[in-house]
Amino acid sequence: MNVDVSEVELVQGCLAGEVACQRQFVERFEGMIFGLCLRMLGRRHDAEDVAQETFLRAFRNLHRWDRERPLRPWLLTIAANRCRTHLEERGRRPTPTDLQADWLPERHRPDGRDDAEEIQEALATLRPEYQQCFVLFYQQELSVQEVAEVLDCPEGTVKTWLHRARKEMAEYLRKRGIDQD
Amino acid sequence: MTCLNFENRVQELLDHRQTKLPDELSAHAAHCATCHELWEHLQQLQHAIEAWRILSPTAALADAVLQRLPVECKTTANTQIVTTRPACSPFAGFVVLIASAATLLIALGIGWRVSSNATYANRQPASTTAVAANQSVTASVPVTDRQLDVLLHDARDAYVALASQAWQEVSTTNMLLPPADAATPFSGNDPAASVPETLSRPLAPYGRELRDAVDSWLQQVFQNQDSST
Repeated sequence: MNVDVSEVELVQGCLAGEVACQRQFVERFEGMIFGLCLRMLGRRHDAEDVAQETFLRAFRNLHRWDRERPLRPWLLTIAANRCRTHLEERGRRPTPTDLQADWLPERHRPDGRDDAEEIQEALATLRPEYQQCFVLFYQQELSVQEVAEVLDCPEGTVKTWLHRARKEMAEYLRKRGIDQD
Repeated sequence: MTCLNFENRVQELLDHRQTKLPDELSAHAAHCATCHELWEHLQQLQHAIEAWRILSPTAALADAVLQRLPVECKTTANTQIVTTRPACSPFAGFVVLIASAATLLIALGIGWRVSSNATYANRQPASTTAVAANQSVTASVPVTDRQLDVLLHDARDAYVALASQAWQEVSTTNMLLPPADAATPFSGNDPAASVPETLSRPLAPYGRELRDAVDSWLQQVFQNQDSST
C-alpha cells in the first residue's frame, strides 16, 4: 500500500487493524521519531527501543488522537515523554564514556571529535527538559510555539529552557575548544 | 543598552532562527568584549548544530513494531488496534447477557404496571365476546392496545440495543460464539432489521442452550403475569 493517504485515512486504517496501514504509519514517521530519540538518548540501541515503545503507545492510544489537530506534534509528544522517562530511568547523567555516539558514521569519528559529536555530548549534559526543547527546536525544526504545544507548557518556559540550553551548550563547546572553521 | 538586554535580544533572534545582528546590537558588541564573546560562542554553537542536524540516521522500525503489536494488543484491554481477539473474562459476555434480559423484564414489568387498570381481557381484540359484553371496558380497549403496542415496541427496541451491546461483548470475549458460517446479527445500519418482530426468540445469536433457557424464563414470567391478572 504505497498510496499516500491522508493522516486521517491512515489512522482509520490502523484503527481497523489493517497491517498495511500500520506499516505505512510507522514508515512515515519512523525517521522523525527515531531521530528525536537518538538525539535525546545518544545511543542507537536505546533510541530504537524507545522509538518502538513510542509507536506501540501511539497505536494503543490512536483512538484518542484529536483529528482536528496534526498528527506529528502528537507523536512527538509521546516520543519526548518516552525519552524523558527513559533518561530518568537511567538514573544518572551519562558521562562522556557512556556516549559512544554509535550512530555516527565512521567518517565522523576520527580521532578528533567533530562538531556533531560534540553537540551530542553537550546535549547529554543538559537537564532533560532542556534536551527536549533543544532537540524539538533544532532537530525537528519546530517553532517555539509548537515546542510549547508538544511539551504542554507555556511559550515563555520553552524560551527560558531554550535560552539556557544554548548558553550551557555554548559554554560546553567553549571549554572543549570548538572553533568555527 | 545593557549586556542583559543584549543577551535577551540575541536569544530572541535565535528563537526566530535569525543569525544576523541588527545594527544596534552590533554596535553594542563592538565595544563590549563580554557580549562580543557571547555572540561568537553562540555562532559557533549554531555552526555545530548545523553539522549535528544534517545527519539523518535511519532505522527500519516497521517490522519490529508490527511484530510486537499483536502481543501488545493481547495484553492491553483498551486497545483499538485489535489484530487478534483479546483475552478477557469468559463470564463477561454472560453477565452482559443476563443484564440485558433483566432490563428487558423490568421494561416489560413497568409496562404491565402502567396498564394495570386493564384486565387481560381488555387486551384482547374488541371482537371477543367477553370484552364486547362490557361497554365500559370496550370503550377503553383502543387506548390500552395502543399503549401495549408502544410499550412492546419500546421494549423490543431496548432489547435490540442491549442485545447488540451484548453481542459485541460476547464476540470480543470469545464466548458462546455462533458457528463460523452463521451470519453476524445486528449488522448494517438498522440492527433491528435482523431481529424478528416477535419476542419469541430474543436471544437467538447466543447459542441454543442459553437462548432456550432465557426464552423459557421469559415465558414463565409472562405466564405468571397473565395468571395474576
